[in-house]
Amino acid sequence: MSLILSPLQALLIGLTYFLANTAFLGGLAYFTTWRPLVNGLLVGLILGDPIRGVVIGAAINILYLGYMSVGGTLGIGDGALAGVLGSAVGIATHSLGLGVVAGVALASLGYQLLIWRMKGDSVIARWIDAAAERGDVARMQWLNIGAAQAWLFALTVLPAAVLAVLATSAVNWMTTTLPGPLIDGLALGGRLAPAIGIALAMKFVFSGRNIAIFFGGAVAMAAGAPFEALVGIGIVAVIAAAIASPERRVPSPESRVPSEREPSELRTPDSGLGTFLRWQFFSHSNYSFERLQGSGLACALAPALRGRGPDALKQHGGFFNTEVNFGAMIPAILLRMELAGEDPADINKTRQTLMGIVAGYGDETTQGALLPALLSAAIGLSLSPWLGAYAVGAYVLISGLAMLFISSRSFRAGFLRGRDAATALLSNAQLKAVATSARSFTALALGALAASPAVLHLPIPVTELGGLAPVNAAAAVALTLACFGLVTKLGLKPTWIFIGLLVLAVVFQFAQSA
Amino acid sequence: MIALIRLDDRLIHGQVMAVWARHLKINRILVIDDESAADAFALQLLRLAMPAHIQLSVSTVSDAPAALTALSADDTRALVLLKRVEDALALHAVAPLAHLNLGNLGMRDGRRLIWRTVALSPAELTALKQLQSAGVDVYLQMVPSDVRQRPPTE
Repeated sequence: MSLILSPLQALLIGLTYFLANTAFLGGLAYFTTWRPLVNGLLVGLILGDPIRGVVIGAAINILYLGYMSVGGTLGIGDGALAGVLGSAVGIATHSLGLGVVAGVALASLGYQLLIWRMKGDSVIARWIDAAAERGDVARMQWLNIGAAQAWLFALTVLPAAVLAVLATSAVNWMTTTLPGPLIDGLALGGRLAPAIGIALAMKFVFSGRNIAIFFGGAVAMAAGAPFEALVGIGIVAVIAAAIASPERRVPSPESRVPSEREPSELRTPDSGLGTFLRWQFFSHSNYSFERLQGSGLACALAPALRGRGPDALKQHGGFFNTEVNFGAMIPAILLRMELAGEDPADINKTRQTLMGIVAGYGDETTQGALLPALLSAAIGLSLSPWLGAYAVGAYVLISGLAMLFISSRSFRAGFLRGRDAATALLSNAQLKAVATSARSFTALALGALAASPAVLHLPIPVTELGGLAPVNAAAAVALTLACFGLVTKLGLKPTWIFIGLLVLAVVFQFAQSA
Repeated sequence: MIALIRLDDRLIHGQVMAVWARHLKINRILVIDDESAADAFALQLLRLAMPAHIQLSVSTVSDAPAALTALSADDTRALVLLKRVEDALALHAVAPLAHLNLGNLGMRDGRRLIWRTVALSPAELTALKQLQSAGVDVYLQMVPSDVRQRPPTE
C-alpha cells in the first residue's frame, strides 16, 4: 500500500519546490506554483496520482488561505514546502490527514531555507552594487538573474528532494510501527485541520454583512447546493460591482492633463517594455533582508539609465519594497522621472513615498481580496468530482493573467502619467468595489467550504434522523467557529490550535478503540 | 489608547495596514514625520490609502505631543508611526513613550543590519539605548506572528 519514492521522483519533487519560488515563471510563481493546490497537483502528476494530489493540495491550501507574505515575513511556515512535502507524504501513505500533518509540521523548515536565501542574496546585492558603480549593466543583470536563481536552485531542489524521501519513509515507518489509534488520531486531526485555515481566512472577511454571507454559504452547502452555483453567484456579483461602481472606468490617460512632458519626448530604447519585463520577472529574484526588492528595482531600471551615472543605479539598489503588481507603476514613474532628467533628490523622495503606500494598497487588494477569492473558488471547484484538476488549471490561468493585467496596466499608467497614476489608483472606486465584492464572495466560499463534507468530515455517529449532511455541516461549522474564536478572542497561535486538534483527535481514537 | 508605536522607514505599507492594523483593530493612525507633513503629494496619498474606518492624522515632531495626548485620552485604538530614531528620542523627552516597536529601518550607508530588515547606525543604537534606560520597552518585531526580539546591547 505504501509507496517508496524513486530518485527521479524525489528530484522532480525538489524541482517543484524550486518552481514554487523561482522568478523565471514571469513573477507569477507566488500566485500559482507556490500555492499548495497547484504544487499538490504537480506532485500528484509526478507520483502518478494527480487526483489525490489535488485533494491533499486543496486541504493544505485551505490552511494557508489567510496567509499573506509582506516584506519577507512568513506567518505559519512556508506554504509551498507544506504543499510539496505534504502531498508527497499523503500520496505515498494514501492518507490525506497524514499528508496535512506532515506538510504543516515541515513547513517551518521553509523559513530556515528563506533565511539562508536572504543571507546569500545580501552578498549578491553587494556584488550588484559593485557592478553598478562600474556602470556594468550586463553584470548587474547576470548577478540578479543568474547568480540569485542559481543560489535559489541550490537551496530548494536537493533539500526538498531529500526531505520528501525522509518524510515519506518516516511516515511509512510510523504507520507500520506506532499504535493504530495514534496514527488514526493524527490522520483524523489532519483531516480536520482545514477548519483552522478557514478560521484564519475568516479574519480577512468576517465583518459586517459578510458574517451573514458566510452563514448563507454554509446553509446553501448543507442544503445540497453545488459549489459551482456559488462561484457563479460570485462572478456575477463581482461583475455587477464593477459595472455599478460610481467610477465606471479608470480615467484614460488622454483625459487628464499630462504632467510636465509627453512620454513620446522621453527617450528610452524600448518604450519601457524591457523595464517592465525585468521588473515583472525579477523584482524578487535577489531578495535579501538588507534590500528586499532594491536589487530588483536597480536591475529593472539599469539598462534604461545608462546615461544617468552610477549614483542613480546605486540609489535605486538601496532598500526598497512594494507590492509587485499594482506597484509596477513605481519603476515606471521612476523611469519617467529619470528620463526627464529630474532632480535625484526628488526621484528618491518619490521612491520612498510611493513604495510603502502602494504596497499597503496593493497587498490589501491582491493578497487580501483577489487572491483569497480566486483560491477559495478554485479549492471548492477542485473538490467537485467532474472538475478536479481542471479547476486547478483554470485557477493558474486566471490568476496569472489577472496579475499580469494588473502589472501591465499599472506600469503603463505610471509611465504615461507619472505620479498622478498613484493618485488615480488609490482613488479608483471601481477597483475598491471589485475588492469589496471579492471579499464578500470569499465569505460565501469560506462558509461553503466549512460546511462541505468534501472538506471537513467529522466522525459523528449519525442516526438516520435527517440524514448525514446537515449534521456534519453543523458540526463542521461549529468546529470552524470554535477555531475562529480561539484565534480572535483568545489570540491563540494557529500552531497551538493545530497541536490541540491533533491531541484531541488522538484521544478520541484511543477512546473509540478502547 | 495607543496600541502600537512603530519605527518604520516605509510608514504605511502591507505589514502595517494588512497585518498590524487588522490584528490590533486600529481605528486611528498618527504619522509623525516632518517630511510627510510638509509634502502635499505624500499627504494626499496617505489620505487616499486609508480605509474608511481608520482616521488618519499627520503631524510634525514638534506638534506630536499634543496629538499623542489626544489619542491617549480617547477611547480609540491608535497606531503611531515614525520614520526616524532621532524623532522618537526627541519626542520621548517631551511626551514619554511606553513602548517602541522597530519594524523596518532599511540598510543604507553607515547602518549595520541588526535583525531582518532593521538596520541601525551607531548613533541610532545609542539613542535606542537611551530610550531603553529611560524605561521605554524597545523591541524588534515585523509582524504580530514574530517573536519579539530585544535590540543588541552593543
